[in-house]
Amino acid sequence: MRKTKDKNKKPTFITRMNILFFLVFLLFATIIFRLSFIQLVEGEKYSALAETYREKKIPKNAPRGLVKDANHTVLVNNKIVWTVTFHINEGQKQDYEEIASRLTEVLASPEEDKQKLKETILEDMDVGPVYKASKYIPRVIEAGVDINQKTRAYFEENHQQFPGVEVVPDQVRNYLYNDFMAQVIGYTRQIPDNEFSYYQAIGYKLGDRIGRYGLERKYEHSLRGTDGQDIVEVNSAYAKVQVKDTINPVAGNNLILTIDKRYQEAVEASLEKKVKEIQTSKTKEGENVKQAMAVVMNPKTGAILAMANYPRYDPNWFNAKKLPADLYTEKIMPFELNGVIRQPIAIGSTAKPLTVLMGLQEGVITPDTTIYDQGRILFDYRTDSEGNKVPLYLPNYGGKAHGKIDLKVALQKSSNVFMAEVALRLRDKYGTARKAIEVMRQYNQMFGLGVNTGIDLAKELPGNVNEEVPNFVQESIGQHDTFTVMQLAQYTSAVANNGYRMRPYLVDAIEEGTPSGVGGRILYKQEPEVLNKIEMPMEYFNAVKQGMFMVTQPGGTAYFTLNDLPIKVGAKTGTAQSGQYVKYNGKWVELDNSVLIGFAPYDDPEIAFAIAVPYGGGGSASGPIAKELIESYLEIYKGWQNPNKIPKEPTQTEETVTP
Amino acid sequence: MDFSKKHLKYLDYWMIAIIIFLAIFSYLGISSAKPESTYGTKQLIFYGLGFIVLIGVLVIDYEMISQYTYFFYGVGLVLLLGLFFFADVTKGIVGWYEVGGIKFQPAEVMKIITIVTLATYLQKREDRPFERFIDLYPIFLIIGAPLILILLQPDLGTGLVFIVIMFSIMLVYGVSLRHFAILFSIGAAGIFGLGLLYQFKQEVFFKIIEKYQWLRLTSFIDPTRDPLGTGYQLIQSLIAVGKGTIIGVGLGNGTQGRDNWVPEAHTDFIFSVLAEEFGFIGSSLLLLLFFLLIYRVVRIGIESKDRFGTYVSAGMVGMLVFTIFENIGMTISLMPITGIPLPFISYGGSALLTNFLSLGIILNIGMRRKTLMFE
Repeated sequence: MRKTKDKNKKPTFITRMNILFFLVFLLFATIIFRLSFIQLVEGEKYSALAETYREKKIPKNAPRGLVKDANHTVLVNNKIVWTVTFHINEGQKQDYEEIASRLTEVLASPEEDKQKLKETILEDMDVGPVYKASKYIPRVIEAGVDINQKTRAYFEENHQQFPGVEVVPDQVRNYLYNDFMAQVIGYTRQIPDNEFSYYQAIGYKLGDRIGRYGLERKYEHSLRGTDGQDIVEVNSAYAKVQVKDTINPVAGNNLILTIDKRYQEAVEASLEKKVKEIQTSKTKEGENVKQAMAVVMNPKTGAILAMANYPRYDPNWFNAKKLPADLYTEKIMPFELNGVIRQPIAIGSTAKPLTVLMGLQEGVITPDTTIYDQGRILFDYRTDSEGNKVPLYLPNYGGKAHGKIDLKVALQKSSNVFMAEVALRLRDKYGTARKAIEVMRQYNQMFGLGVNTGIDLAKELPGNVNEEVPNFVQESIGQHDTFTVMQLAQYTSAVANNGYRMRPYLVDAIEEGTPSGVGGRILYKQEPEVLNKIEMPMEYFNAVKQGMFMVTQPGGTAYFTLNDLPIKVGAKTGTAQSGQYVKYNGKWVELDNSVLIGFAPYDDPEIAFAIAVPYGGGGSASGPIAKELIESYLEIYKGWQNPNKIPKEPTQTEETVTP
Repeated sequence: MDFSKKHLKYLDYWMIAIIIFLAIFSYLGISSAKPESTYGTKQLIFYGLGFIVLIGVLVIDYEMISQYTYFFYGVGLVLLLGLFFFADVTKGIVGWYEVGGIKFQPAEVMKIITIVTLATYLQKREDRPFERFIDLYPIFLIIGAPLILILLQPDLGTGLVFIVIMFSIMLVYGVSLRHFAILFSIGAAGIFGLGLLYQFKQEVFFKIIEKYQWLRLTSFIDPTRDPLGTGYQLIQSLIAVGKGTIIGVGLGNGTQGRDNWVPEAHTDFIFSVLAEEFGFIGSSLLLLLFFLLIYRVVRIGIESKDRFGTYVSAGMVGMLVFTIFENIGMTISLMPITGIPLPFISYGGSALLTNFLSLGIILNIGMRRKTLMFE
């Protein structure tokens, strides 16, 4: 018994040791099996996964195209603002609360409520559970827009403490001449939340700035470049290890305007000078005058030479971290819109050349027709409360009688009676007042009044058609429907250009953008475009233009303001009742819009213009502006020396440089 | 001292060769994980010290070690107990003494002492089988005392090593299947009880098991359950291993460890780094080395002149295989993530020296084996 046990003893423990070793083998086999599955079967999957975790795409914003004037003087370029962004990354340990707290510590200004700021930051970080934007795009932290060099360095040094936080260069617009041409050029802003999905669909990303107004908006597709990116390899703290690939951004294309900066500036200055002059005067207009507008265009091509508003604002304010509410409501909002293309005004007597042209074309008058102007004209009756017929008269301005006049004198003296006569004859021709005003509006539209002018700006308005009590007699003297200054300019231009209505344009050419800002080749050149040709005999245009010339001659309504010019000018003044009453010297008085249209030189027009000073009164407001804009045109475009201006003294520095 | 040329002749040179290859793997892995540090060089210095320890152990006859084992065992228990009074919390665990910047983990050495103690006890018991289950209590006592102290730290990973050591030695001693069945039943009942608690009384459950431990245990099954904690480590580790494919990305080209994606890349997760750089071929080679190492230990256990040597070998096999399986397993989503380093590969002086200590004891046993008849 003992012996057998001895015999069996040794194999037993060897067997048991071998069982143990067999278990070892099974465990190793399990590892090898699992390892082969991960490395050989799923290897590709994990390699791909590695790339998504390991690579970071750093967008490189493309510089937006420049805006240059006709002489290639840069008006708008870009500048870099450093902005804090946050990026949700599930491959990284991110404690959102903690990150927000740390950001608050760094970004809070001394007097700021930290708890409130932290909440705002958390909101900007957009960490869910419901995401405002896609989870995978960086968010802009508003409080971290335009941080200084010191703060930027702090983030660089302490990036481990801020997983997902990055300081990225953001390009903003730099409007070099501040409020110069502000409403026309417009501004850029970050895509509003409610429009983001639209812009995202056409390739924009969160935080991108888009043209929101003016040329910036209209030419968004040209100005916007194509963003590039750096694909960088990163470590677990998301710090850059090395750049793996770079796609360079493509700069946006540059706009070359039809505007000469010097001329636009001169026109803007004239407006400002006049408005301030009226504001300080002791007249009823006085402080009621707030603004002035003017457009100067080439009647042959439609090229805009000046489009001026006063007052203006500085679009650079829109680059600010947060636009202060009072700055916006006081300094921007009242003037944010481009009044030239959006603000309808009663145009008054400037409608008369059109009324005359219509009368001629409709055959109710001829160039030789004369009528007897008694100072007022009976145009209708009204029934008073006792059932009596009361006659309605339309008087001339100041009730002045001009006697026997033809159409030229009617324009020269701005006779309401003549115009009302034309309107009444038209009514007689068509039978009803309703029909008459419809015909008048057809003519308006031929010349661009009441329809869009087609200017290359966003958000143009066509003016207002007054449907309440259609009054064809008031319409004949510009006291019924209302139109914009841009429309007035186009209409004047069409008269000056013998019936060719041109499409007005501000962008003369689009030039290929380059990273350095030096212009590349011309991609697009604007050709003059005839919108429509008003078919009328040449003699009609000539007659009306002669009448407008006589306006600036002795006896004309603009003689005193426009006589002292070296070239012949055609014009028409307008003093339009605005319907706005103010108390002046204890009496309620109505304010008038001062309007003026014109073209020059009379023989071969190179410019057509329209000026409006709402509530500015009569010709004394817009007349001097017209004079100055003609003079500036001659000085800047024709090299004319204004004898009334003292030539600028050469400055001291220039003298010392001269040997 | 009983040391002669005969012993040198019986020294297992295969094992020494395997250790040298492991040293190369260790150096390459650490250098790739932390290229801008001196960890790689330091590890080589630790290897040098390890060989000195090895020689030191070889000089002493293992029978002497066996004689003093109860004394060492007592000292070990005191050290483990002292941790609760004198040690600071590192990584959520009270496991280390820190003296003059050198960290010392008593549990590491205690594993070896416990193996030797249990082997000594069973050697004395000779071959008397355990008749009743209750007769197994001395084994449970020897293993249980350090095990409880370690579980209280709490260090579940090292605790499991003790249980595996116990099973390995019991298996080789010849504990009957019936007793194993009872043990497994007790274990299963415990787990079932916890399962019921989890299902119906979670607040009690999380008083017994810490929340983070539970996440660790479960996140290896579904890493997305704890994507910022252990799930994150696991995802990154899987990416590293997977990226290696067949031949690996090449020495020094691995980015997972270098760029800090895989945490603890030079210690606990060094296998991920090696798998990324050397691919399936390289990792299989490493596994082969470990397998051969264990094979040599098994051989020594079988050829030992007494049963003490066999039991020690069995314990060592259990210890080695469990730590290797647990460490590599956690990098490839086979096992939950614990803080157990990979023997001979992970960076760390005290762990490496302990590895050399066990290696020394095994080589000692092998060196003093019986002369076999085919010699």
